[in-house]
Amino acid sequence: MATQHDEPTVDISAEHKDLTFRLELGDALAGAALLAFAVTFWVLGADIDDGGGYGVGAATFPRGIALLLGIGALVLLANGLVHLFGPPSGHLVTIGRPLHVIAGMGLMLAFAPAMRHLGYYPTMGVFLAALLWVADCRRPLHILAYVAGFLLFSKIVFEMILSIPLP
Amino acid sequence: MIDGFLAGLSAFSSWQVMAGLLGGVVIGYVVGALPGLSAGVGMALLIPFTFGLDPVVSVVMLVSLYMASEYSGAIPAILMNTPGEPSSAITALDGYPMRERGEAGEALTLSILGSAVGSIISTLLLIFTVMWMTKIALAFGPTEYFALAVLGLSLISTLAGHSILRGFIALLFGLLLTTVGADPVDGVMRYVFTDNLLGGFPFIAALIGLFALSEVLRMLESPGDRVTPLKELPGLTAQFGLLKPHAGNLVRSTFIGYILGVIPGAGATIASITAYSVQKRLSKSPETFGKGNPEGVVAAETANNACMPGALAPMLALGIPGKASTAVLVGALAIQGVRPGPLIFTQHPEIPYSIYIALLVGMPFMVLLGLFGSRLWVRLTTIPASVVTGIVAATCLLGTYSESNDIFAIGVAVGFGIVGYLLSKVDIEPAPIVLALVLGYMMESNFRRSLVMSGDDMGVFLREPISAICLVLAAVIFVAPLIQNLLTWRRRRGERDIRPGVETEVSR
Repeated sequence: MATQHDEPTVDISAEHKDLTFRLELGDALAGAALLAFAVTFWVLGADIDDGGGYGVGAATFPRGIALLLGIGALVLLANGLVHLFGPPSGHLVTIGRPLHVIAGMGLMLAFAPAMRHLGYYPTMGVFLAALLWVADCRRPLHILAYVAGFLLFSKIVFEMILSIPLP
Repeated sequence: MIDGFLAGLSAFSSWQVMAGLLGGVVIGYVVGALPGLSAGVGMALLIPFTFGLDPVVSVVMLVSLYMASEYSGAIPAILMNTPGEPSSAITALDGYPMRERGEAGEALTLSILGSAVGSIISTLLLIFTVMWMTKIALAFGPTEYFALAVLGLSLISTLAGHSILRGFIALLFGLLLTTVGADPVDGVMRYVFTDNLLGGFPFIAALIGLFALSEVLRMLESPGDRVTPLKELPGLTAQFGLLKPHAGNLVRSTFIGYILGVIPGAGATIASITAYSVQKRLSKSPETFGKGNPEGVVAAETANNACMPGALAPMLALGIPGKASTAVLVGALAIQGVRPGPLIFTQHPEIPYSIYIALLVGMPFMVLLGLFGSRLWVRLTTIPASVVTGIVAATCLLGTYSESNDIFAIGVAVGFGIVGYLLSKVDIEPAPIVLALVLGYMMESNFRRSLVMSGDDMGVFLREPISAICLVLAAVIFVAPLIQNLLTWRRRRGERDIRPGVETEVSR
């Protein structure tokens, strides 16, 4: 892992497979993303019907907030860039097991579209089994038991007791 | 009043009322503990079963459900960083770090006892001040609500972590997200890229994403076979003793919760945030807030439960439901032919007094259930992290869907989860985003309504006394930490000038 004295910008440790980078790089990336977000809201805000532009209209509040967020994001970005090219501050960001995290994000992102097409029970069954596997639960019988238990819980509590239909 | 109490007590002599009370508490525990299901949803689901019941049984059952679910939202907040109720998000800030230290039992004990004290004192306040407090509630118009929202946002400095800049960025990010959907005054559509966003981002989905799903991603970073160490809870009597050092905190948070509960629309989340912020400012160790300080758990839980009897004041005395749960209660009473308002105290005295008695009698039952239950629920923390990760994610996705019956809400929760996870990596915390999501709409809508009513006169905010006081307080709260930071920076610079050879770390 990188130390304060010998600190690369990004380091993927082979031993722990952790992704470590300087906070300044994270600040620059987050600042750029938030700046883009604020600029998008500012630009799209120009198309909002503001009632002729007199007084405080529908666009005033979002554009005002977008402007302030843009300034804040710019400060974060500039601060990050200035420190990135300067001496290391020693503040590091570590993402442990990035492949597990990406797999988890992928499963979550796929859940809603899959539920729309396949329905709740098959989607939840596959999702839960896969997430348990990603989270290091590697005994198939245990996974089966947890999935079956959760689906039964959904059926009894949500569909039968609370009368909430699941697609 | 005595006659009313006698009428209420005689109603409580029936076994059906006691069964309704106990049934309401148990159902409330389950509803509150399930993420996505709020007290209002639970009460609405129960109403069809109350059609054939006596009005007193019906109202006692619904009120005890309301009371229990306001508390039980803290259980998943502490054990899984998944707030069962929106107001429990503040409890999670310190409750979850306590659980990670193996102090889940202590956190659960403090939350149930704090809730009990808040609820009982607040109920007594309700009994004696119901008419007087409703006058305060009526004094709140758009100008005052705007000022109250600004005062709430000024508490950002206590939720921002160690960097005010990052706190403000999170706050502004949240505020910008609240502008998506129909504009609150003219109904003009803003940033609506899909019909699902007509009403803006679903709040519960955003909350579940920011707190719970982002935590699921964090849990995936570590090996799944780890188990949290669990400290043993003391005996039942000693459990009560845990509350001893928090007497002042309890009283303050109860009053904050009760007063904010009376104001229609303010709600338990704002009460929790306010009590938490006040306690952090008065604490001897404010730097440990957000890292598992029990004072934070006590403040948040006491205030959010004290809020509930407060919310009943305008409903009973004026027939004004201040929040979704009390609106459901008004509907349930209307079905039974009872109309809340000033006449309820003379025409149906058994109803308000049964509610008071239900709150006072139901709480000890709830405490016993909570104290014994906490010994059982803490065992959940001994389950391997891999299983907890999977079950928490599945429960959150199911809860998000069931809250709105909309698959789109699941996508929103996942989106907020990923964004919350990535932002937390650069020390931008989710709490200020949640604060903005709670207060953004309230602030903008009342700001614009005030200006419409005053003919675009900005001076209106300083002419109304309640509004002026709130805005001055907000300005002081905003500026104080900045001055404090400036003084600290100057002191450090002075020390560095005196000892030029010593390298000091740059404060971020």
